[in-house]
Amino acid sequence: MSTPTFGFVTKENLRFNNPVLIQVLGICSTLAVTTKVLNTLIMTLAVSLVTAFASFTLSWIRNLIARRVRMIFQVLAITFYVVLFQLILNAFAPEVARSLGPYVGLIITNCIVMGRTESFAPANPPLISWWDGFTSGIGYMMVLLLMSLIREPLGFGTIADIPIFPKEFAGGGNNWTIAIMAPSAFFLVAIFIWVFKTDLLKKEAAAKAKKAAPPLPAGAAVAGGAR
Amino acid sequence: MKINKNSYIFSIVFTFIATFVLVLPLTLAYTATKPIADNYWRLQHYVKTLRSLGLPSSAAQAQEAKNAFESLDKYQVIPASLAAQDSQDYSVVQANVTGALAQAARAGLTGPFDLVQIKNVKVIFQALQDSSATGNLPTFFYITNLNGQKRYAGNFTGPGLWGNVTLAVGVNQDSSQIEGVQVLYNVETPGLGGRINEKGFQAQFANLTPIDGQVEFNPNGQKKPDGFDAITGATITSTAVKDIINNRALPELKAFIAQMGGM
Repeated sequence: MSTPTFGFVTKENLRFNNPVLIQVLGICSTLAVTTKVLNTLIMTLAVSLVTAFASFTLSWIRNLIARRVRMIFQVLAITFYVVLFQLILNAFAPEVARSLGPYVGLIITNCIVMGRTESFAPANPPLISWWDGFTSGIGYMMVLLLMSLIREPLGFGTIADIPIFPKEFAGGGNNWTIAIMAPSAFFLVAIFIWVFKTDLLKKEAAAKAKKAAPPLPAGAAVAGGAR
Repeated sequence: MKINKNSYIFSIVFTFIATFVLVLPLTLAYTATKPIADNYWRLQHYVKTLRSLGLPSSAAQAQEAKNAFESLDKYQVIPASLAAQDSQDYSVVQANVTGALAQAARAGLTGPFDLVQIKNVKVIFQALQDSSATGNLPTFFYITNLNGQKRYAGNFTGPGLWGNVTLAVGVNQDSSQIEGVQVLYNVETPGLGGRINEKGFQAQFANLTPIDGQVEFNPNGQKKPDGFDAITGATITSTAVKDIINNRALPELKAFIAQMGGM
């Protein structure tokens, strides 16, 4: 099996195999943390770094791990980075730690982290695994930031806690409470997938019609089973 | 020697080593960051207790907040056996308290209970540290003397949606008016119930006048003297706050004031 290139991995994770839009992973946190831009930024940054370093670690010791105990090491390595991140957050950014509440700890079971460490890291060298984990996180971040940029103004009338609408909107009870509750995230994810997929299919069809451009790269191991 | 990585021995030994290698740095990181986090919670406790008494206080002026907190009189309801044991930390104010005041003793302890004055502020630090993960803080009462008028405050814990909610509630000398309510601990949904921690929500409790020792939600669009605005989309958390104030804070503070009034 040949090692994929950095450019290929980047394109896959950001576009053709985007963890949220195509693989539909990490939806639980998509609903939960996208109500505020700042929370979303910190959370997705944490996911990117945890995925990157957990992938790196697991890829580094991949030849020592027996197949039947691999899950133990995946969870152990992921937990290590998540707890480390949480400790740092608690000590140096207690307000953020507080507003994120239990969601930081839940990165451990984030499907994207599990998916990349299960599918990509055991089959590839450490550096490209790090890059794969990181770009997966960035692909996740792109979508979530876009969602929070829609949800926060509608729900709270602010962006990154800076008011952008007149006071009558947020203070006068005219804000869209639905925008900060779970259903709106479902609507937004669905709309994003629709727009994104339509665009992708159109391009694919155009490419086929021309018969000049190469077909879509085959998905680099879509994590199956993990939710 | 060739290692068979599928053998049980190798799996067990390797798992053990890997766990050790990963858990050791975490333990060290925890030990190193714990004092910083504890300091933060302690400062929050100072500032929020003072604010619940209607006294201005900010985390930016840590030393002032610490001094002001330490100058408050501090009381607690504890089992009589413990009060007798620890005479350098506690001095008994009233033995065998009953009714609403006995309710202020930590859940799970058995009576008879004594109302004691806390002589050593370390008791509170220890309780803060022990409850940092669960928020299940024992009830402490505080008294301050402002221009000859006394104000009373306490911290009260009750169930929220996901975990405990702990409030610091302060009242005037006859508990007819709330001086302030501050949220000391919550693990409610960020963005919904978690908004009880926002300044705007907490500010609306200053100068509320409970009717028959009860506060209530404001009806839509109106302001009542004993009412506060609930958070839209967070009914359970808002009700939890109301219940803690009505069922714990106000009756217990009233009983505490009645007890201390005789002195």
